Amino acid sequence: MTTAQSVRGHWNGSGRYVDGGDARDRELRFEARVITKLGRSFQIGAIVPYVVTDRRFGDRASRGSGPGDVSLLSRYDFVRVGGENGLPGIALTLGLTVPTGRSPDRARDALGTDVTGSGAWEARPGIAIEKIWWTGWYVFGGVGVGFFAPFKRDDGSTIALGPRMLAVVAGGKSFTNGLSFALGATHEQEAAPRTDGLRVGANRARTSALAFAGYEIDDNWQVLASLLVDVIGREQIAATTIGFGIRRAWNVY
Amino acid sequence: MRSTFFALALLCSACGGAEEAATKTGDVNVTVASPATVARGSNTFTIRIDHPHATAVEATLWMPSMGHGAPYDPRAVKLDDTTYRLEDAMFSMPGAWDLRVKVTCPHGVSTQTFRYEVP
Repeated sequence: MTTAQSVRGHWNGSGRYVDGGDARDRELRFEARVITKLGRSFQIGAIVPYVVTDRRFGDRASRGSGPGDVSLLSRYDFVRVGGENGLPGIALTLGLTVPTGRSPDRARDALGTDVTGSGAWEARPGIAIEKIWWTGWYVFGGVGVGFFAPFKRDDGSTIALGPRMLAVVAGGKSFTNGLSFALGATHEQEAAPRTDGLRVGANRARTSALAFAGYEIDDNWQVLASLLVDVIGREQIAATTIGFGIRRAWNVY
Repeated sequence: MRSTFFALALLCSACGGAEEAATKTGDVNVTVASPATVARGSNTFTIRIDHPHATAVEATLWMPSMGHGAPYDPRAVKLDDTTYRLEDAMFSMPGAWDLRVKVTCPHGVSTQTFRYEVP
């Protein structure tokens, strides 16, 4: 999956939108994703990203890149995808982010374009609920809560990023010709970080509109496209992100 | 855009031994004059300290809601006994940033924080 994000501005602490003017702040993210089944109900996977950032503020411009934070994924389906016996599909998920990217504190570039990660381990348990009807319509909802491990800065202070909640809800339709689409929204809420145990800063929040489309070329290959537009926020950047990906599936059962 | 920030008192002893700091502590006013528009990228500030005996002025940038600072600290260049130019204050992303000014006097160190909203 490849995503391109362009920052338009940000929302301040009172939720007011502040336009970014003529600043250029773009991120290109290449992700290799792999997911495999272990038995009928259990899946594990990984996302390995590579991040390219391009910025121009005033008379300064810079471009940086590097490997991002690797994510490890797991999922256990209590009720299989699509639902059965009148129940929707229900799955517990657990994500683990490994801080393999360069954190803001280790940035060497003046504009921070070499920052590719958060600098902290994150464990993210969650739940996913999916329902598919025979007509092809489907709805999906998921929520996860991320907990960050504290880390030390070079000056000896300990930073503990606040826990964050990520939620997504979407609905759409799959057609018999292989085309599918979905519209939805995502919301993330993050508590203020703590420095040496003291809470500093403000809580952050952002809600985004989501559009997704996919097309199954054949049983093995699918192309994916997505659009994410941040629409409301507080203490968060406002960005527009487009994505494009190709999925290869192997039928192992 | 805010142009001037008037600091609260910076506690800094004026003279005398360290043990006298508590009794001889005086209020030091620090004024930070920002550029007309604070922006992402490099910014220059002017710091005025109402105290002629400061031995050092240092500054750091911190983004409290994100839990990180800037790639490097701005440089404080002394213009005269009470005026410093803060060069290359680099705001690397939009949002609320804190400019922390640390003033060292002969017998004390204190830090004052100024908040900026970077578009």
